Amino acid sequence: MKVDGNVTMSGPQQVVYDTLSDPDALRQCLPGCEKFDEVSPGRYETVLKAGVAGIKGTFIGTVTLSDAKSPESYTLTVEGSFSGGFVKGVGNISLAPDGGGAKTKVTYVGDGQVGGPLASVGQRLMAPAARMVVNQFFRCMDGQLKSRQETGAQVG
Amino acid sequence: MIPSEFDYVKAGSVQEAIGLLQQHGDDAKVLAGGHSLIPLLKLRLASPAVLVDISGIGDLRGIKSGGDKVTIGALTTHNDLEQSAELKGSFPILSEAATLIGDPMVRNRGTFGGSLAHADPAGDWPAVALALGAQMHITGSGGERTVAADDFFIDILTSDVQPGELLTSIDLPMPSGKVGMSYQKFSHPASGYAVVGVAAMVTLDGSGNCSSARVAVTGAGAKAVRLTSVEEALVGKSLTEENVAAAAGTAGEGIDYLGDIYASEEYRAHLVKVFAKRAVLAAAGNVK
Amino acid sequence: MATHPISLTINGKGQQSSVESRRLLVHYLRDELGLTGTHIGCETSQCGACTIMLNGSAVKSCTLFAVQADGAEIMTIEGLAKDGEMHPIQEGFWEEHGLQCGFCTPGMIMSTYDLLQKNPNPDEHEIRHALHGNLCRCTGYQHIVKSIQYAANKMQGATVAD
Repeated sequence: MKVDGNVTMSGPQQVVYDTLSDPDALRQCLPGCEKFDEVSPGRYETVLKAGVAGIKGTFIGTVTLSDAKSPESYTLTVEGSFSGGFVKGVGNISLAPDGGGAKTKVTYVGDGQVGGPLASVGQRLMAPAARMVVNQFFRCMDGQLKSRQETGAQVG
Repeated sequence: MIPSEFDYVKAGSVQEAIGLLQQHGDDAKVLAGGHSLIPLLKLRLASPAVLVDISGIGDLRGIKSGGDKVTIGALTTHNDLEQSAELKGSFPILSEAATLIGDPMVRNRGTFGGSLAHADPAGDWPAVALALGAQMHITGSGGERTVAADDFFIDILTSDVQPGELLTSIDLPMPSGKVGMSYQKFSHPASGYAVVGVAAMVTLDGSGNCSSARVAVTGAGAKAVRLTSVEEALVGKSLTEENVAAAAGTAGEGIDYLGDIYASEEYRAHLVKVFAKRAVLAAAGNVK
Repeated sequence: MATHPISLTINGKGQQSSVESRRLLVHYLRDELGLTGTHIGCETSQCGACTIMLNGSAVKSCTLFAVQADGAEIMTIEGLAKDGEMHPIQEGFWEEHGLQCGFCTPGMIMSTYDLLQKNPNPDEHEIRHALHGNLCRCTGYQHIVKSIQYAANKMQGATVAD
């Protein structure tokens, strides 16, 4: 299952990069995040209650940020169990200046595998559900960026 | 396969159902025919604490024709629509589409309203409701509101029915003039869901040209949508194969296509054009 | 654990039970009432082996909770034969080799029952359309269609004779 796309985010590239890789921002924007604890540098034990409409499940696993090339790109790996099945996904996130540097274009290319009941019957629903969750995530992150810049809070 | 534990309450009236839904909030799910919900419960992909069974609310099932519209109760089954002699004259598309849903046992239980409120991206009724310009009646604690089909489907599995509300009936405006309609579907061979399905309603003027068209697609993206570019390209034209093919060729602008193991995004994009053409030609072919 | 009293008629006999909300109708029929003629095949609403008649319509008993059947009239495959005499549909499957392993057969027969009560003289296309929700993986549908044609003929003959 592939999930890719791009989104324009409010803020210069370095600020966007720092926010997208900031554990506090991730904790707030990962859908239904109940736990996001760093266990080793860039590796987080995670519990998410996520879903679409009535289909909700609990993800228990790890989220790893690696290959960090600030402020250009990083790799996000998600691995764990979801609703009785397994989930494994790798996403490459790359950033480029947009709008004369005031904004940032974020491009994501992800590939995921899902096994278990969700995969056997929910297969046709997974890609659109994943897209919806990804869109929610970036909308939330954009909100974080805006409020941080408004309040002049330090990021990173 | 055994679902997680839940409690079950059978509502005797719309008011009682809404009271129960408001009382339990996010923990409650509405149970009508159950043919979308129960499979999810069995896989434990959904685990609500309470099911509010509305299937006993008699007022919600049935078809009423009155003047300029037909009103279909939310609990009317697919089979009711497939068999209805009353609808065969004015809305032959309902029987045509119903026949293509699932199988006979599914059609005996599954409901029109349930299927619309569930907003499955590959459900058949959303495309039909959009093409017919349906009006949805939704009741909540504050009374009833009406939502046009165009504004009803929000995203994957998300319709405008809010927690604590119930979709109670659906109005279909009675077509006037020389009208034809058809639903054409490319079914997934195992699940029966629409890989792509297109519903079309065309109206012809005195000279036989298309005076208005409503065309909608399901299965292509996260939700059913109107194919407005096709509609615009049809108006004023004679519905010849050539003109319809040209109009159908514009289909798909703005759709964020789904791709899965069965049908890639490119394949679905191709199917949308093919089935838009077939649906419009079939609609043009049964104008009366 | 939420349990509910239910009262229903099964194959003409009244039945009172107390069931857990999440109890599937097919499990209730098989495990509590011992009516094991209704089979569980896919358990995902696809195969039709669990088909029964509920208030006059064929339904998949794996996609229904027992509690939803409160007050209903149910007929299972066990309710078809009368006084040791096979029902004409059962006879058709026997005569026309409508089964090999027999796993799908109870569901096939109950779907046929629903079809023939609504359409006593179906053509082949109508029969195949009516069997859309019943999967057979060994006999093949050809003999099943013939079995249903046999049953339809026999049942119409019986009506005429009456």
